[in-house]
Amino acid sequence: MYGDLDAVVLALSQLSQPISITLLIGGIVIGLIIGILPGLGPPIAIALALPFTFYLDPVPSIIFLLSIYSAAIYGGSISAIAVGIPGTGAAIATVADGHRMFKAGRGGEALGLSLAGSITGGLISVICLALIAPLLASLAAKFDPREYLAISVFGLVVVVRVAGDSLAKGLLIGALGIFLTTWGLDELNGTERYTFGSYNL
Amino acid sequence: MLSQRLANIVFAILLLIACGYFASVAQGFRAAGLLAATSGLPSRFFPQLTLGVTALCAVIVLINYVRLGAAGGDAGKMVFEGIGEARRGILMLAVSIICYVIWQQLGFIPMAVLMGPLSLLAMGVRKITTYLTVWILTALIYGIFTQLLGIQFT
Repeated sequence: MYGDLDAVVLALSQLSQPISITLLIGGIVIGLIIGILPGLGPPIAIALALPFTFYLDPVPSIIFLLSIYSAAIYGGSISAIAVGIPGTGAAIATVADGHRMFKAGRGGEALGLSLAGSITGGLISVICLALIAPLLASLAAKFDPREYLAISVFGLVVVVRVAGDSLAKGLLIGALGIFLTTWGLDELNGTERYTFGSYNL
Repeated sequence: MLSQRLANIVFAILLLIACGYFASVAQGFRAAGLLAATSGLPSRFFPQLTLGVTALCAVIVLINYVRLGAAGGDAGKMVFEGIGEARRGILMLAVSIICYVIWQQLGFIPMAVLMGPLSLLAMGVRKITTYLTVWILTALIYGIFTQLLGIQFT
C-alpha cells in the first residue's frame, strides 16, 4: 500500500482553508474561460497564471494551477458542443457526438455528460495517481527505445482505429501530423528544418 | 454549395503539390557545426518518409474521390450544412487573417480591441450587450496582466 492516510487528511485540511477555496473557485472560472476560447489551452492558461503564484504559498499555488488546468480541459468541451469548435485538443472527439446532440436540442444533456465524464475521469486519475504513482515512476524509469517504439506503434494503431470508414484519410492525417513534428530543430544533429529563417519556427 | 467530393479532390491535389515542395526543401537540409561533415541523411530522411506516406495516402484519397465519388461514406455530402454555416466559417477565417495582419502591422492593442467584435459580427451576433461584455472582458484581462502582473504584450 503506497497511500498515506495522514497525507490525505493533511491535504483535505489544506483544501478547506478559505484562501484555498477562493483560489479553487477563481481558478475554475479562469480555466473555463480560457478553455472555451479556441487556440488557448491548458498550457497557456498555466503559463498566464504562473506569475500569480509568485506571491502565494506552495499549496494554494498548486491548488490554483490544478483548478485552472482541470477547468480548462473541461472548458474545451463547451465550445466543442455549442459551436463545433474544440476549445482544447482534448475536446476534439467531443465535437463528433456533442455538437450533434446540441443541434438536436440536447445541448444541456451533452454538457452534463461531458462534465460528468470529466469529473469521473479526473477523480479516478487522482486516486490512481495517489495509490500507484511510485510504481508508475519506477516503470517509467525503465522505458527505453523499444517501449517508445511500442507507444508510437500504438499511436498509429489508434489512428487507424478511429479513422472510420476511410483508412487512407485517417493515415493521411496521421502522417501529416507526424510530418509537422519534424519542423524546427532536428533533435539528433541540430539541423534547422523548415524554419524559413523564422526564429519562431 | 461545396461538396465533400470537390473539397477533398482540391485538398488532395494541393497536398500533393505541398508534399513535392517540402520534399525538395528537405533535400537541402544540412547539419550545423561539427556535424556539418555528415551526410545529413537523418535530417532529410524522416521528413521525406512522412511526406512520402502522406502523398501516397493523398493519391489513394484522390483516386477514391475521382473514380468512386466518395471515401469513407461521404457520397453526396456537403462541407457546410447550409449557407449560414458556410458564411460563418468563411467569415471567421477572414477575421483570423485580418486580426493577424492588424497584430503584425499595428500592434497587439488594436488587434485585441477589434478581434472580439469582428468575431461576434462574423458569427452573426446582434445583441449590443454581448459586444460590450466582450470589450469589458478584454479590457479587464489586459488590465490585470499589464497593470497587476507587469506582463507586456507586443
